[in-house]
Amino acid sequence: MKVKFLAKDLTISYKNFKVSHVSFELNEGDIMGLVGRSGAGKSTIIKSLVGIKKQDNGEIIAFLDDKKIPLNKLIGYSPQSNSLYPYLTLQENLEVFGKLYGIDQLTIEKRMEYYLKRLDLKKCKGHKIIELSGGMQKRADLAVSLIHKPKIIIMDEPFAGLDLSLQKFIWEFLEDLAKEGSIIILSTHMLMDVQQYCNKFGLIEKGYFYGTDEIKKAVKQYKEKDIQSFLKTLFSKDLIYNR
Amino acid sequence: MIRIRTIPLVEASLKGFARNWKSILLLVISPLLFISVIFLSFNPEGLRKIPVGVISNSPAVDMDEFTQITNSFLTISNYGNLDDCVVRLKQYYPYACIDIHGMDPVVVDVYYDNTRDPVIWEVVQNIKRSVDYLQEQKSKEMASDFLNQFSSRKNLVSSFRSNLQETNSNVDTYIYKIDESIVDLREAKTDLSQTIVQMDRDIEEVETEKNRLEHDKNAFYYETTSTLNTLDSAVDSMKMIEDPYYNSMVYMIEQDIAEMRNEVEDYNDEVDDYFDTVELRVAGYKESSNKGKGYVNDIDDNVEELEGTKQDLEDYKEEIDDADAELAQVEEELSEIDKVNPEELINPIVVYNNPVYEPTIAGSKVSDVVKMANLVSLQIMFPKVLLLIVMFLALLISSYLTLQEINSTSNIRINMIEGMFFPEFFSVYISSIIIVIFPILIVLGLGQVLFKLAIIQNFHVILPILLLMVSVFIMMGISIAFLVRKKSITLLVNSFILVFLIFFSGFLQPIEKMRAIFGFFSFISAGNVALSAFNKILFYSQGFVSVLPEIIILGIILFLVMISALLFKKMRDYPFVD
Repeated sequence: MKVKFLAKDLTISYKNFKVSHVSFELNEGDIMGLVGRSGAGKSTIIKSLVGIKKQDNGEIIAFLDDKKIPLNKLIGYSPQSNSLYPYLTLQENLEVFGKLYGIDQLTIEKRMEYYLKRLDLKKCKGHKIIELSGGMQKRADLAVSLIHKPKIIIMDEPFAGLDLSLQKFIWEFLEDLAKEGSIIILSTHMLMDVQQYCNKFGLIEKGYFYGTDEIKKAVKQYKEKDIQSFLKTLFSKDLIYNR
Repeated sequence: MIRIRTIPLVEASLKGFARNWKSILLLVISPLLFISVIFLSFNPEGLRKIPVGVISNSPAVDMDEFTQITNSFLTISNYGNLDDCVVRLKQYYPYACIDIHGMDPVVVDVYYDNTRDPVIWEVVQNIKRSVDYLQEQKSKEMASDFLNQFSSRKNLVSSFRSNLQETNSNVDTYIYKIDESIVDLREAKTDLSQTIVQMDRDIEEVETEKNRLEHDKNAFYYETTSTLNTLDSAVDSMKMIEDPYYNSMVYMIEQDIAEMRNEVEDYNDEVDDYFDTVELRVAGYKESSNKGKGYVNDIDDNVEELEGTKQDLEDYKEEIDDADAELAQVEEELSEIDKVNPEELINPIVVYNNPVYEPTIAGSKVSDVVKMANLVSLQIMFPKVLLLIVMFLALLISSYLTLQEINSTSNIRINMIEGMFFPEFFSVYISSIIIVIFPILIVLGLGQVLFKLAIIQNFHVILPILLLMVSVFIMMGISIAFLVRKKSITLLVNSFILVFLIFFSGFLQPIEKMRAIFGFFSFISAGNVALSAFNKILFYSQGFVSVLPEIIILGIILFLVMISALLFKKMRDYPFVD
């Protein structure tokens, strides 16, 4: 089943500022990295994409086999901090959310076994979320986000506070998911990883969203080696970038 | 679908609650401890001993007796004059000053510290009960002579009545004996009559037989005599023939005939004598028979006489019964006087305030009456305490669970799932009910055991009211939490709401003292409606039908509060601008 995810000229307000011109089109297998300075509005865009924050203008559309599908049926969301029941075990969390998505117990158990194995969480199955380390919580959150087999996976700062090996582990896992046909959108400060693993990009700078083509154009314009070095220059030297 | 999604949310909510020791400690164990402390603090024996001052200037009142009957609840200090006592009262030492003065009548002035409301009312009530008791004793003494006189008259009547009843019993015995005698005489008469009849028959038979024999004898005698006469004639004719032999033969025949005649005569005489004897005896028997008949007539006369006597006795007995009934009436009237309250004899108009709800308690002493009054006051307080606990627990726990839910990290994920509006709402409600109901049931148990209220017996009626009331306050808690969303402010608002509800439900400020419009809203408030229903059930064991209006009103309130909670949730739910 082919999935497509579109954002058309979104404008999203947050407190005193707004992010505008958010437009992109993602197809199955795409991994889009959202980058920007702290407080630039990455999380605001992500919340708008997953439907927990209303945009001022624009449209977000998801297609499955060219058929328009409600977003919440296709999206799996992993917020910046985990979004699980802290006093429930990982297994109980998976079961609760599985049931809320209307999945039968047998399927839940099968998927639970699969994702716990893939995310190396089998040993943590019976542990309460508050008893898990930060890395485990992040993986647990990812596992719960995937229990209903979403085609679009959106993650807000999934690598914050994780060591390099764990970051690599998750990147590879996400890469596998993309290869299996999912769309991945994530926000991060890991520019090198973005360069390495993502094929689509989103830059939020001074209230504007810049898509993959615009970034690539800017890389050429500023004669940077690659996107990573462009972004590094941009963020470190406070480069003034205008369309 | 709502139900399928609500259950896992309830499970998650309850598990989360149960595994968080802080929530268990603060919202389950602490309330239970507070409730236990509250209930243990109630003294079923009533108020502890309250200090009062007494100024006694009346010789008519026995102060030792007064001290003795109030000893269980008053600590009495004697003062020389009222002013000294009032000075101490204003320094918060005695709760009241009791000034007893005058002779006829004795006046008891109670000066009480009305700033110690509401305890002082119970103290004043207890003092009044003691004075009433003394007053009653006094009235009894005054009326006792009067009653004693009646008592002696009553004893006389009783004694006379007892004698009369004994006489009545004797008359009964006489009548019985007369009856027995009449029966005996009648039996004797029957036996005698039968004997006489038989005797008469025998005499008649004997006479008949005698007459027949006499006739036969006479016939034989005449026939024999005639034959002998014929023979004599023949012999006389034969004497004509003169022949010695023949003459000797005739002579011999003549001799034989003469002998034969003699024999016949003798026999005839002898039989006549015998017949005479028989006649004599028959005459004797007839005389006896006649005498017997005379006896029978005598018996009849005697029986008649006895029956007359019996009738006289029965008439006499009737008179005795009438006299006994009249005496019984007199005795009953005297007994009625015995039952008359001495106070009613002394005071022609007496007012009695009779509380309808009064649980039975053994004993009639002042201490027993005070004990019962204390139990009643605790029982009356119970529904209010129960409601306060329900309000407190339902508001706080539901707010806490709602805030836990909406501020939980998992909430973002839940809100991303389609159709979670109602399941999320009802999961909080159901979880709250489950957590709240446990301590509430413990409170009900304490009410049954400590306050001796009929809770278990009426549980089928209590339960729907309880569930409705708990639901109303849970919905209020949910509404506030959805509206405010922030923990600290929600708890603050809850505190204000609690204080408002306590005052507005008529727990502290009576509804009757409110202005009409506020009084009306207070009257239909959930707390007051539930309180009214609980009072009906717990004190008067009223059934389901009696509390139906309260159930309907609580149902309407629940519906309105639930709608407002849903509106607040809708307003404040995701997506929202943070």
